[in-house]
Amino acid sequence: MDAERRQLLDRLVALQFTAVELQLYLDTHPDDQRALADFNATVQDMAGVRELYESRYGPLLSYGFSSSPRSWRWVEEPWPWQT
Amino acid sequence: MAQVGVGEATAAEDKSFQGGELARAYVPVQVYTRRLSPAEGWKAGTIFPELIRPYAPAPRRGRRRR
Amino acid sequence: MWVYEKALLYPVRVTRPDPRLAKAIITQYGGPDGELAASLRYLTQRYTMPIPQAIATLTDIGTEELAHMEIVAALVWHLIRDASLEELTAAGMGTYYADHDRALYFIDGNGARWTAAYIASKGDPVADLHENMAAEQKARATYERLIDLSDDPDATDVLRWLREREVVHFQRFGETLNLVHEYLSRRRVF
Repeated sequence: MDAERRQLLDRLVALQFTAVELQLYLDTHPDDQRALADFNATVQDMAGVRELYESRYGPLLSYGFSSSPRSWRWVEEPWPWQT
Repeated sequence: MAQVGVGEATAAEDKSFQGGELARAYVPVQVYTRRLSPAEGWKAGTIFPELIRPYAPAPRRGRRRR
Repeated sequence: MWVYEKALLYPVRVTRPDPRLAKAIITQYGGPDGELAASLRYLTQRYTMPIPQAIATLTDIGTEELAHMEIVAALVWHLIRDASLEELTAAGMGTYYADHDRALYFIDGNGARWTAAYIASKGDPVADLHENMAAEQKARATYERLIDLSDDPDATDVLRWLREREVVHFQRFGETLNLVHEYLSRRRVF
């Protein structure tokens, strides 16, 4: 995986990790409006970075959440443990 | 032995933690103060600075000190 | 249901083989306090939790543990894939190689196979949440022992990250326990 691709993926996963943390927090603090706003803002940021990543490198999600225009790129390497 | 009567506020509802109910565990509830940036939080393993607990590994050489 | 994302939740950037370390780390793949055990424990307990916040917490942490399992697999895979047969045998992984080549398998550091005996699903939410809090502490302690054993800074970085996740999960299960107790108290008062 080249450095530019690695950097973009790192940016995406860092945002996703923030979303995971806020999700776990909200599960036990469902009335925390500030955390909710932060979660939704993170979801928005993630969507933008994911769209950019996928437009260059192909689908990230399975089962219909990501499309694969022109060719079936889902099968392509690298798989996550191969980098 | 603690008993819960009809209409009594239970120890579980008492937020001050004074006189907590016996024979049960309490974990203090986290209060959201601030969060680290996505990059910082990701590296640290949590976005919440209050939950960071560093670990200093045991020395690899030398006898174990008690 | 589950959806797969083609990315590791935390990157594994190991550059040199270390089958001796892999043999120790594999316990967090298929051992009693490892990520498979954690995931299945939480995912199977969630069906009988009495409040939706508990169902959500168990579902979400159980799902995260699958992501951790993949990270541990990536770590072990990297540590043994380029090791010579000489290195593997010297590390005590010769017999593992005979049965599995360099494939991942669900065992602990001594070769004991994964078993459902590693997990409890009591159906009593208070008991189950205590089981989970204990599991997170045991996993945290195991990662500390693995950090003690590791002299590979790239591997140590991943182990530290996984350890910190256990600390956070413990906090969430503790908060869930509080919520379950509050629910049970409310039900007693009528």
